[in-house]
Amino acid sequence: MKRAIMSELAIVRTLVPSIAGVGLFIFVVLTAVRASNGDSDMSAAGAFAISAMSPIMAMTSLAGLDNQNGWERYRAMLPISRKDIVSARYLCITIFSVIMACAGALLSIVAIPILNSVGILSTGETVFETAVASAISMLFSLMAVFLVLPLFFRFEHMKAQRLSVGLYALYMCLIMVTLNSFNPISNQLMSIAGTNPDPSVLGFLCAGIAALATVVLGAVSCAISTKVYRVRDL
Amino acid sequence: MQNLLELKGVSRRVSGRFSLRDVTLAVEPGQIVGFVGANGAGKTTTIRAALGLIKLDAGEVHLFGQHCGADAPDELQRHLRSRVGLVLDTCPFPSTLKVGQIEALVGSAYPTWDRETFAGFINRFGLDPKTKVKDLSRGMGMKLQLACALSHNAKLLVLDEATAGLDPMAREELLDELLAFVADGQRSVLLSSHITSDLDRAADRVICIDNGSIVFDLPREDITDRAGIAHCTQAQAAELMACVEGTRAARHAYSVDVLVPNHREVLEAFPEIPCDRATIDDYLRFMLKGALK
Repeated sequence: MKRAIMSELAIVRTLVPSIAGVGLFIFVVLTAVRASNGDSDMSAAGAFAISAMSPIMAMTSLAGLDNQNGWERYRAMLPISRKDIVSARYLCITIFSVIMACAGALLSIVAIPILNSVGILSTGETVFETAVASAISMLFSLMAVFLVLPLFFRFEHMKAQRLSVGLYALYMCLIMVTLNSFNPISNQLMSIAGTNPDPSVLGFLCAGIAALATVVLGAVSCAISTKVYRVRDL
Repeated sequence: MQNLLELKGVSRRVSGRFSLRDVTLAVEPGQIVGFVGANGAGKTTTIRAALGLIKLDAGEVHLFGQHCGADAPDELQRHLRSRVGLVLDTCPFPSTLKVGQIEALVGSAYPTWDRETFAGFINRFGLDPKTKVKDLSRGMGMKLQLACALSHNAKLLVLDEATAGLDPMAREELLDELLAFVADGQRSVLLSSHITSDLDRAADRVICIDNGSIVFDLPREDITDRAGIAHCTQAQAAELMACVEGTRAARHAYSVDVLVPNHREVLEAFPEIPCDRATIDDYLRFMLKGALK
C-alpha cells in the first residue's frame, strides 16, 4: 500500500502547481468582483470555490494521465496490487483535497485584513465560518468524486467522463432537493443544535454530518472500484 | 532448467473477429526469444495474457515456475512482477513528469529498486533529469523505460514492439543492452517485434503468431542457417516439392521460390537449383503467405 501511495503521490505532486494556479486565479477574480461591488458578505467565496473544485480537478487529471500513453497498463505491471492502486487513488485525492481546502481557507483568512484595509469591511464571515464553509464545500465535492470514481476504474476515461456528467447532475439535484424541501433533516439539525443555536455549533454539526457521509460514501465507493478494477482487462 | 515464462494452451476471445487460440510458448533462461507476427496478429494480446493483465478463457500462465494469471493472489502477483521488466512501444509515463521524477513513480513500487543503477543508466543513456517526458524523443523514451526495467534486478524483460520507430543506431544500442542482459545465462528477454532484422542478430528462438495462433516456434539457427529459398522453374519446383517435406512456395510470373527446411541438403540433391539462405523475413513471409506443397 505504501508503495502505491508513493507512486501516486509522485504524479499528484506534479498537479499541484497547475491546480493551485487555477485556484488562485479564481480566488483573485472572486475577490476582485467583491471589491468592485463593495460586497463584504461573501468573504469565503474564494475558499469555497477552491475547496469545491480541487477534488474534481484532481480526479479528472489523474484519470486523464492514467489513460495517456498506456500508463494504466504499465502501472498494472508494477508490483502493486490493483486493490492498492485503487486505495492509493482515493487516499491521494482526499489528501490533495484537504490540503487545497486548507490553502483556500488560509488564503481567504489572509485576505480579510487586506480587504478591510482597502475599505471593504468583512461583516459576515469570521475565520471559523470561512474554515467551515471551506470544509463543507470540499466534503460535498469529495462526495461527488466518490460517486463517479468507480466509473473511471470500470471504463475508459472518455466513457467514464460522459457517464459521470449524468451522475453529477443527479447528485446536484439530490442535494438541492435535500436542502430545500427535505425538512426533516433541517428539523433534526435544529433539534440537536437547540433553539437559537450558536452558528458555530450548527457549522460543526453540518461539517460533521458531511464528513461522516463522505467517509461512508468513500468506503463504499472504494470497495466498488476495487471490485470492478480487479476484473477489468488492461 | 526452469522456464522463466510459460504459456500453455492459452485462449481468450477478444472480440467477434479476433481471439487467441491455444497459444503455447516458453521462454528459457539465457534466451532472447523473438516474438513476431503481422500487425494485429496477437503479439500484444499474448503479452497481456502472459503478464496477467487479461483474464483467460482457457490455459495457464507460469511465471518463474509459478502459476500467475489475472486471478492469482495479490501477494504472489506482486512478488512475481517485481522480477519482470517491461518496455512498451510508447513511453508510458505521465507526460507532466520529468525524467528525474520517474524514479519516484516507478522505483517506489519495486522492493529491489537500485537507485545507483538507475542513475548510472540515466547518465549512460544521456537522459537529462530535467526533461519532461512529453519532450523526449521516441528513442529517449525507450531508453528511459529500459533504464527502469534494468534497475530492479529483473529476471525477465518483456519488450512489446520496443524497437518500432527507432533509428538503426538506437536499435543497435537496445540490442547490445539485451545481449548483455542475458549474458549470465540466468535472465531472459521476450522481444515482440515485426522488425525481423533485429531478431536475425539477437534472438535465440523465434516464435511466430498469426491470427491468434502460433504458426512456428523454432531456434533461430533453424531459420537463418538451415532453411533456404530455392529459385526454381515451375517444373523444378514441382519436383523439389515432391521430394522434400515441409516446403512452401511463392509463385511468380516465370519462376517459383520454394522455402526448404535445409538448404544444404537441397543443394546436394539438386545442384542445378540455386538455393540461398533464408532470412527470418523470408521465412515469415513464406509461412504466412506461401502455399503449402
